[in-house]
Amino acid sequence: MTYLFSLMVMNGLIVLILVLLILIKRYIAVYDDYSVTINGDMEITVHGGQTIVSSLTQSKIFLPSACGGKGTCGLCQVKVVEGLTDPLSIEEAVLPYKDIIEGKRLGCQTKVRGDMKIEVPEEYLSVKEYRGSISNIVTLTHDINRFDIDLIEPKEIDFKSGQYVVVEPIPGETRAYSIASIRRRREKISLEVKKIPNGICSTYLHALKEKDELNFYGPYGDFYLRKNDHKVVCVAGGVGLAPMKSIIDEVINEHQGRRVELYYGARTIDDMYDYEKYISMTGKHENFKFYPALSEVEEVLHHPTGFVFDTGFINNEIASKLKNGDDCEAYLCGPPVMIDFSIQTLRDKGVPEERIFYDKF
Amino acid sequence: MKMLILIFFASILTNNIALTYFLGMCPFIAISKNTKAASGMGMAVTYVMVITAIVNYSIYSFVLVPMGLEYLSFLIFIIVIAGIVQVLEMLVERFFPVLYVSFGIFLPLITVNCAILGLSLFMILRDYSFLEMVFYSLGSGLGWWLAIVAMAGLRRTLMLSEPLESLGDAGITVILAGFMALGFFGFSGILPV
Repeated sequence: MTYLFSLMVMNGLIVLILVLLILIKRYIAVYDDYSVTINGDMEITVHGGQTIVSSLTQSKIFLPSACGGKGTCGLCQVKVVEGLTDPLSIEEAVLPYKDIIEGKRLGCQTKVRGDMKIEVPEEYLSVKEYRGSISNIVTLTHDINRFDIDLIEPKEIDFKSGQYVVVEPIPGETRAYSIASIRRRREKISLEVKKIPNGICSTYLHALKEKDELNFYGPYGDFYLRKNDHKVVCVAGGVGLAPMKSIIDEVINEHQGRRVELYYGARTIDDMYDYEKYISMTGKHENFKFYPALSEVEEVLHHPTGFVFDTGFINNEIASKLKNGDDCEAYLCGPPVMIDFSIQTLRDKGVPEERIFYDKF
Repeated sequence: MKMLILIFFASILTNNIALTYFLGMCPFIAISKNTKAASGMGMAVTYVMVITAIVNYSIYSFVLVPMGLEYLSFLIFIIVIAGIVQVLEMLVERFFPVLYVSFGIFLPLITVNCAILGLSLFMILRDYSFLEMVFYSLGSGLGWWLAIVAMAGLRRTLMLSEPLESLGDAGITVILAGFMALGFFGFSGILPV
């Protein structure tokens, strides 16, 4: 009996302390979001209280480390330009005094407790800055243009299908656009830009002419095609078709025998582009299926080739056309509402949560 | 009331936990290089001492004694101290970042600080009442604080002098602590506790 009591007392105490710790972490010791500017050109928002390394990792910037964040290898050092705090004793032990005075800190030890500006060695960033010149501008719809950009410096870009680049036409104003060109052509990229009423960047971009130069950063994003055997379901709304182009191309040309379906929604046929290409592809590739849907059209449209454009929202199209959802991998890109509804439909169809990737804009 | 005041001052001066019992030596030597950090550490130790003493005392008298589980006190005290140090660390990191930076790695060290466990065990041994225990723990914390700040002050003066190289940094500090203990020994006649 005494043993039982002592066990109960010990365990009860431990549970009590754990609950207390969790409550404090969750509700009392809560941090705000801070902005961290890296090398003066990238700004990320960071939830305070975490180390620089982990906050950069969330932004896909990986600092090297040989010690797993224990503060002993010193590889992850960054230079803190603004928001410098006193060095921790670990940092004093690892870094030379001269470096500490200059503002060098260990990324795995220094935590974000306010807005910061840091400098990270350029080679650590897999993300590069590209300079390109516009070689061709295609008007796709009344408000969407495609810009074909020849890379000037660096001459080639290596990206994964579905990733995006960040364009900074005006200093301080950045916008992300999916790479709408195929991965196999590395010396140029295409961007498809929808003109937003009163949008600073899209208006600026739409005013560009051929031969104009454009700078962008990239590639970014974990929205990219995974290599496996699952059927790829691409769900695109409007200009959300852009990242699907390289995904579809990669599946058909590089993944032998993998099937891909494109669900493409827009309001009217005037808001839809490049559908001719996909209609002709359905005839050429038996692994490719194309299901367009128009949400603001009353009657079902028939293309001259006999191809049918259904009416309704794209999630209804998925609900009626998608089969064997549990063997699918879904990639969604489009307006948030469309993505939310489509994800719901995909879940109902049995597509596993971890195989749904999306890019909201 | 007189007893409470006696216990309070005795724990600061005559029974100083750092200089009479030589408990809590690791942070006492490691973090007494500058007065600011030493003061922060002293504050943290005082805070942890008072809170752990109250919690440990309550658990001991309301749970362990009625159930006849006094032999668990050692384990329970350690767990409570560890938990409270964790809580303190989270709160200090969030609300007093400057203090947190000056603690560095030494705040988690409080978890295994013998001064704090020693205090909890002494208060059981001496059979203090609740109020006496509060005054005792507060006095002990302040005493430790006083000792480490005094040591930091001495060490700042030491930087200007040139002690034997073979004594190093820690060696001369321990010798200094010995002299300070002798100094505190002088208090022993003034209080009958």
